Amino acid sequence: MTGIPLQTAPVVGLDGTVLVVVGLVLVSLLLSVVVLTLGLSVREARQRRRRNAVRESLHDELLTRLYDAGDPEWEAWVGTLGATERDVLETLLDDHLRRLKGADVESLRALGDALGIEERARADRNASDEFVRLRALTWLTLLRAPSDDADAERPRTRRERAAVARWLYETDADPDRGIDALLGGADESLSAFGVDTLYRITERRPEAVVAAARDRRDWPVDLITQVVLVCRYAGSGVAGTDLSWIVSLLEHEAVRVRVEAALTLATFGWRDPIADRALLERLTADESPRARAAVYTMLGAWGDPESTGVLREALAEESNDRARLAGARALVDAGVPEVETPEPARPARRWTAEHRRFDERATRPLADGGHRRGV
Amino acid sequence: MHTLTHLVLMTLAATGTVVVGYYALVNAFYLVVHAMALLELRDDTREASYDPPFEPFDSPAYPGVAVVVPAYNEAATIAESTRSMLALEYPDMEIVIVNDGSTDETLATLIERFDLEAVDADVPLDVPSEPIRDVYRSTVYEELLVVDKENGGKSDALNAGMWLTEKELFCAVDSDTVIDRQGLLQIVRPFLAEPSKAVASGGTIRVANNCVIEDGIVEEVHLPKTGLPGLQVMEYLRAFYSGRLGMNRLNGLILISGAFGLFKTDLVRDIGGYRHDTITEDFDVVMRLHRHLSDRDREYSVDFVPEPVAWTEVPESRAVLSRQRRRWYRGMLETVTTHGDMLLNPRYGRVGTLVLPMFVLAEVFGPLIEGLGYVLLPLAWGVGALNVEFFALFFLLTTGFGVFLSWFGIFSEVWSFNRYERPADIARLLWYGVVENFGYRQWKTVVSWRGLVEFLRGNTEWGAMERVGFGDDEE
Repeated sequence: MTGIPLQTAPVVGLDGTVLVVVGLVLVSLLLSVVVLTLGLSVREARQRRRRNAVRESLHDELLTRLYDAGDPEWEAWVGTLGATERDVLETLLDDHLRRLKGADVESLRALGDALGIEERARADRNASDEFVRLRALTWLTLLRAPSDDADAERPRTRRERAAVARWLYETDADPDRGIDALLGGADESLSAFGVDTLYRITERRPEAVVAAARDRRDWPVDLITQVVLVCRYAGSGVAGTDLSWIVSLLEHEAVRVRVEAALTLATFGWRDPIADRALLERLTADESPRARAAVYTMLGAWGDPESTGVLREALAEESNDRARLAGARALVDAGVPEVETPEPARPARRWTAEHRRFDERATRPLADGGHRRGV
Repeated sequence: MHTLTHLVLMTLAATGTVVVGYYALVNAFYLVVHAMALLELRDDTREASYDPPFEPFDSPAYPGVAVVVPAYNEAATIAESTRSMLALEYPDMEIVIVNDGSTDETLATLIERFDLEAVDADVPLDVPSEPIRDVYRSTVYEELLVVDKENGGKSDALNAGMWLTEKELFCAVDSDTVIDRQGLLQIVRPFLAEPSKAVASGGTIRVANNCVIEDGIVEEVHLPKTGLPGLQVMEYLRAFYSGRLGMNRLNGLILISGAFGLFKTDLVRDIGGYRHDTITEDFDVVMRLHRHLSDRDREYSVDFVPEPVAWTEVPESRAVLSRQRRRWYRGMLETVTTHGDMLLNPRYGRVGTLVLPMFVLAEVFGPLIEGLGYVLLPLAWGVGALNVEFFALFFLLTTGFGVFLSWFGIFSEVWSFNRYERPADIARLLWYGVVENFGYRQWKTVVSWRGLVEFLRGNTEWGAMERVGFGDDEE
């Protein structure tokens, strides 16, 4: 990158041919890059201009045909469009299918048929390029195109597992097939899309997900953590199932898993088999401050006298300021008055109470009836 | 006399040979890094083209993120910056603005614009920073927290903000930085893919000068009108779309910009937060993470994600740019010296054996050797030791190669995310890639030498960066 044009004639004898060859190679390289760069830039700009020119009128026409009474006559309309217009229409269709629900989606599916998207997507399911397969699965999902047994064949990658499971979920296939696609033989964590899909499946069929998770101690730590997290968010449905597998995770070797298990059990309320005092005392003595903090949250969320008693005893001895803060927050949430808060945790309690006050003020509905984003 | 002339010639010859070897090695490394960057960019653009059909705002998959923004005398821009942060799209987010003992109206502006009130309780945590005077919450924006503390510098402010959040991740952001609305959703991707392994990720920084920014959002992307910021646009493209992407491909990312970097909160707390006695805290903290995790044989990753973009105002005057670049150079020397034991140390994997040694060779020694050359060149010419063919060859291999690498970075931009949509802007960038070699580059060499002298004198000043602010701020 940098240069020192220095050398001595007596030592380095240079043939002019070398200079010419190096110069030609370099100039060729530079010319190639500059032609490629400018050519690409001009092509992209031209395509963008063309697409922008037709986007607005296509959008207007799409909405008119979608919402005006009568047959939208998608086939006839699509037949009048050129390649660029069809391409832009596909992006508009994609955008609307993600945002609309119900009867509108049904009508838009017919537009997808008119554009030949479903047929193309089914063919692309067998493509060797992963991203071609993923885009095909996205279309099939958005169009709610029905799946059959062959569609659930073992996906090849993590991303594809999530995409197949989502397609099966959106087309109301048997949840077991979706769970199998997502978690069957899984040896790595899920993608964000995968976690979201598992969450949707868990909301619909919690017992099926719990059954799949219960016996899978060979899963990697990340995957266990994600499944427990999903159970926490799925809430009441999972609460009605046998939670002993999550209880056992409270003493898992990985801190992340212990933390997630405690936070998940916190959302399910007090349970007799869990609230074994000896177990709780073991948990509040966890060597990890993060795990102890999660256990304090769990005890505060349960809020029964025995749990808060264990919590107060632990807080009196707590040496980590962050765990102490979590414990104080748990006491506030459990409604334990300040006088019953162990002395070392009182500053943290006051801090928490103040923040709760601000949280309540700021989350009041706005005048227009909307809500602010939560933290 | 004859012997003396011979000695001078031999010395010059030896110097030239060393320099040739040096540039051959460094340029070969750069070529490999740029090739790696192209492969990485290909994968990233393919991945970015896949948009799974789900809505992140409804999803439990995203970890909480605290955006920590140190602010010192930023009254001109702080309201706009804060609005920009509040407009970010992310399901679980907290904005922590740390007023680092500003002597202007930074705090008053925040209090007035965001309806802040002081939290009536002492901070119950042992925060490793200068004393915290007050903590404020907004009565309008639940996710906004403002920390007012005694002045302690950027590292100190970052520590205060990071210690006061409960979020699993924190994003260090400069107060003059505008982040793309979906920037957090993108930069968090490595943490979603490998929750246990990912410890830090950095995004691309681009030049905001002359862009149209409204309500904290970059609405239109334009090249700066003047040459100095324009040259910096090209430098930033080269650094991010070539250098960092390539290092990422080699699993050896050692730099995450302090303007936009995401970290695992408890891990950075575990290493004691940012060091107060460094002026490039962003470089230092990444090096310390590598050290900490390698020493414990932990499997981890530090990632670069090319397309969450943060926009920053770059200096428009030579004096300010010189101050900034001298500080970067001093900081680089300081960090490299501090972590000198990692150099060529196999314990630190590719970082120790390949990336850090080449970084030192190219970025630390490069400008110094080049500066030396500008002194020796007239000397060699004066004693009749300058071979014209060799001079021409060397010029082609260094300056010509430099232009090639700059253009490579611009090609990567056009081929991938193409934010500069007008071909005329691209043509100007290509032109900058040429003209930077005639004057600007030599000036930067002088700046580096000045940075070296300041480092040797123990200068640890930050230097002020005058900001004009983004867009109108009359509300």
